[in-house]
Amino acid sequence: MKLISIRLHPFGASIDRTFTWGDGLNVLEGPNEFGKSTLSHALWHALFSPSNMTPVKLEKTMGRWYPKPNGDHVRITLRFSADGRTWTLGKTWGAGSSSHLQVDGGASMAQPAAVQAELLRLLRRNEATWGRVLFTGQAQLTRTIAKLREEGHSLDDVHGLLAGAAAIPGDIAPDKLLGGINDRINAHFGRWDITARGPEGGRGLARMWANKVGPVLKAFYEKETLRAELNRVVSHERAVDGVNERIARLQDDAGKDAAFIAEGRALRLGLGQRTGLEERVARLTGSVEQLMKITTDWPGAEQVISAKEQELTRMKNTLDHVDTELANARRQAQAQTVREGYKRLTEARTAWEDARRRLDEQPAVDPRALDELRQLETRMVELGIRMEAQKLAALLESSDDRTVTIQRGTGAPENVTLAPDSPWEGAAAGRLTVEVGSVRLTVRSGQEDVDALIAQLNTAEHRRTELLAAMGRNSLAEAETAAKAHEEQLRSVKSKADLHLAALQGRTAEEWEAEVQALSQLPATRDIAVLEQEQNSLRDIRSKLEAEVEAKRHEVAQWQQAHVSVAKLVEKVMAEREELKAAEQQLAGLPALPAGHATVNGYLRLLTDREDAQETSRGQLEAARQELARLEGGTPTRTAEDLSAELDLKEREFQRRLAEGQALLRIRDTLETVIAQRGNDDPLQGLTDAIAHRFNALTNGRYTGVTLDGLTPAQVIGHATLSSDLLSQGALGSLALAARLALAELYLREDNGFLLLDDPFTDMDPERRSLAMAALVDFAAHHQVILLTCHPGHAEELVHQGAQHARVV
Amino acid sequence: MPIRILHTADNHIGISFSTYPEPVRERLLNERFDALARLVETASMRKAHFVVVAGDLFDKLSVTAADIKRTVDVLKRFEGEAVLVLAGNHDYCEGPESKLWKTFRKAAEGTNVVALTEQSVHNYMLDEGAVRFHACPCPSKFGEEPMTGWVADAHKPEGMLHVGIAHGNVEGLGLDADQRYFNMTEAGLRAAGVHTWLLGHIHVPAPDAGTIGTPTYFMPGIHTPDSVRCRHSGHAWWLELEPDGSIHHEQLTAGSVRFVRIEAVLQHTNDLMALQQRCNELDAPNTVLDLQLTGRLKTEGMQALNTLVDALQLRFLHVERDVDIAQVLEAEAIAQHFPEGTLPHALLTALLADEAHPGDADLAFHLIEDLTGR
Repeated sequence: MKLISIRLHPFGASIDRTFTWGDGLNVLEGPNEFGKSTLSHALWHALFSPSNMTPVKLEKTMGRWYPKPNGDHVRITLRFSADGRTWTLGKTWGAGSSSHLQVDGGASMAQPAAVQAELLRLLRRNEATWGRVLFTGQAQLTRTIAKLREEGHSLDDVHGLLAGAAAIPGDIAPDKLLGGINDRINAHFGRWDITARGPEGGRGLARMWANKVGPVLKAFYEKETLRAELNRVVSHERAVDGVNERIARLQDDAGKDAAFIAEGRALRLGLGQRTGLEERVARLTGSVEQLMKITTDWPGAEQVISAKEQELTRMKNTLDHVDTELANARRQAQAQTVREGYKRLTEARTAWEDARRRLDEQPAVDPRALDELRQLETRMVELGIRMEAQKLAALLESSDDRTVTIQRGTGAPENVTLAPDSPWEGAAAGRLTVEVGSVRLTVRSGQEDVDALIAQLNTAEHRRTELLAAMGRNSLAEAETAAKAHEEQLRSVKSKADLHLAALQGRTAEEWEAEVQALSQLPATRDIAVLEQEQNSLRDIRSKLEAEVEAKRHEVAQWQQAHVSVAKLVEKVMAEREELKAAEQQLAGLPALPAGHATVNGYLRLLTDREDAQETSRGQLEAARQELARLEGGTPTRTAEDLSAELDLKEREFQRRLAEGQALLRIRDTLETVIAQRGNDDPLQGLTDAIAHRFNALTNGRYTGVTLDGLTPAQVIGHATLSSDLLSQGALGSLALAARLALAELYLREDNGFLLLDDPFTDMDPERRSLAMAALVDFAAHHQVILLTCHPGHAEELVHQGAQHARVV
Repeated sequence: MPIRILHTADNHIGISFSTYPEPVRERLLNERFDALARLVETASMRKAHFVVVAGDLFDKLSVTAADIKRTVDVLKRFEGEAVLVLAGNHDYCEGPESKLWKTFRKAAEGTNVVALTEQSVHNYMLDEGAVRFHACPCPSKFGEEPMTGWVADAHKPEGMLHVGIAHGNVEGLGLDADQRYFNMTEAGLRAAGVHTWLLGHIHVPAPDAGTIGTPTYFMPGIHTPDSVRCRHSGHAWWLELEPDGSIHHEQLTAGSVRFVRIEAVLQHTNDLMALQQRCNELDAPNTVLDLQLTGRLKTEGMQALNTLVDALQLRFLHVERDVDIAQVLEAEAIAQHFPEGTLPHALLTALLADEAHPGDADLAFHLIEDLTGR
């Protein structure tokens, strides 16, 4: 598309103004307020804003361009050439809104949507491409790189436009194709968990996803919804069957009992009377039998009582004899004990007498003499010790055989024979006397008065001898033993006396002897146990006889009270017999108890039970019928068979959707393999080269290359490789211009379209601006360029650059 | 002279056909009545003594009163002794208060149409002999035990023909794997001591046409097809029962509508021609055609198929189609749209090589077209 002219009538501040353009570079230069931005916007709206916008959108989009103060519409007429023909486009927004597009010599179209569709066809590129590449608003050039990064994906694909081996027409970028397939897969499997083979999050029919549901899940939900309906229908059918079965069973039960109940109800009254009569007959029968027995018993009752009383008397006599024998038997049992006690008494007395006799044989020792004797003994021991302390050692030698008499201490004189070789050597206590012939030699100890000691000792010994003689004892030890034996015998006598006393048991020996004598006179008896058993038996018989006599007397008294006399009783029996006969006749006239039943009461109870059961069944039947009516009210419109058939279809549809999804996944896998196999061939290399070439020229050779991220120059290569974000504002403007011109070259290759720039050089220093203008002039040699500027110098410089086609409008 | 019976069953009056467009649905609904009317007319014309409907005269308990009345109007035109209508498992009789059967009886009042809704015997004394029918109706839709058990113990006077009428599956004949439909066995039927059984439930006739002898039972099959599951043209039995119990039987055809499912694998143009030939052999105006098509076709094959189906839709009563045909993309088509060396060309060529998934390439082709806006 190449622009020829545009008329604004009105638009913004322009009430009616026309701008015309030619081939090559068209420079529109004017002061700030002359309306170059208005013209840029008017051209954009003419091409891309439909005239049939909603009021709100219209106000938002076009309101600012209504003439002030009271303008209610804007209108543009644009003439352009495309497809080798000249076109006239007219658009009015606001009051009288309209669109029309007419090719010279051809028909006009006026439907806004159709006009817009035709315009887009003639423009060849999408709106984004025009907006981001071919239209450059004021101060927007340096924003080019950022815009490409943000919105590059929305531009027309350049792969098919790129020339050379790496830019084959009809090709498509791997990321774009892969992205497209992924989009399709995501849409197809929307809310479907491929791994779990079910809805995301397990959300089944109870909590179905509503948004972003893909065809797979949609088919799944449809299938499962139908399956649920089928299950409901089958459940409903089964529920109806169940209730019907219950109804049938209840009806059967009621039918089975109906005959029984009907028969029972007919019999109930008669059977009820039968019950009373049967009881009466039973009672009368019993009564007659009882009276008959009294009639029999009463006359002999006194005789029976008399016989029993006689037997009772005999029984009492027998019992008295048994009681006496039992008493003697018990006394005999007691006599043995008495005899044993008497024996123990006799033995105790004998032992006591023996002890007394032994005491007499063991005379007592005078305690004072015994005590003196003990003191003398002590004194003599003491004196002896003292004598021992005065001991003398003597050696008697003789030159010839000689006999000498020696007396040592208080000892008796001793004869000692001496010989020349046989001396005598000995010791003496206190004193030693040697007497040879007439010669007496007495040797005394010089320490103590030995003679006095000896005298004391002799005195003590003499007294001891006297005392022992008086006691008739030979030594103190013997005296001590005799005294001790006497004491022991005394204690024995005392002990035996106590035992004898205990054996008497408080009685005298004479009393014991009298009792033993009496016991020997008792008669012989049977064993106590035998007698006790016989006694108990006789007592029982006696009690029974007494009770029988009493009972009989009481019975007779009752008979007399009830029946007065035997004669009266007989009359009564006759009367009751008549009554019984009448009752039996009446009973025979009542209905019989049905077979198989033992008693009327049992039968009537069964009848009542079945009546109750029937009543209950009726209630249940009514409830079941109500339930059936409720179920039938909700009978599904479609049958299980219909739904089963449809479910098959839904299942197939679901499987198809699933298979289609699997196909998409395979396609993606294959694509990834193909991309991997293609290696690093860059289909955008042509574009990269074109941008690098232009950037190199715009920077006067400072940068030799660029790398692209999609369509966006991401890095520039010079002495060093720099991220495009780090470029200066001027260099960034050059890079933006290079990218725009390279892309525009591609987009306009197949169609001689136009490029519009609004003051693109504002941020460039003179050198960059000069280089940019040269590039633009070069571009304009092949394409229509419309450049708007408020800088007169820029316009002049462009002309100076030798732009043959440059015109100042 | 034999006793003559026309035996039908499974008429399913009131089936909804709700998935069909209205004119087709109406035709199918009317066909249920029309085919029944043809049978009644045949029975009258052949001087049948009885028409026996062995269950499922109606499709469901909720059949409308108007349909019941219309059905009785058809049946009561029978000029013979009686039309005996047994309650089947679709139109079971749950008890004396059954709404369907009360309506039916009221409509049939004063006619020779008799509802057999309780286990019962029905005696008829004809010039040709006496016959006792032992009716075994269904009391519910499902049942594990057959309803025929009581017949073995029933009194069967000599000198009468004894005919059982029952409804349910017969072991070995149907596919009631879980035995929910009053499953009967041939041995059980034989042990019942009747001369023969007139059954319903299975939509396929039994015994096979042309069978000789006296079968234990007869199953007429549906009287006119109701879906593609019915592959025959709709039948009934014409039975002539001799006094000695021997039976002459003849299969009648009553249906005028057919449901035909054609399952075809299409891979070549020849397959399409064969399909067309098969369709041409059908009675198109009276046929509901169900096409189950699978296979793989090239673009022109797909176009031809679409053209064929369009033509069939104009001719047939109705055409259902379940098409799962992979459109095969040809290498030439790929090259025509995407020059060699392009990514689409490489992808489509790789997909085309996958013989196991012949449709993938075509799917990818359309996907790329969508993406590139071609």
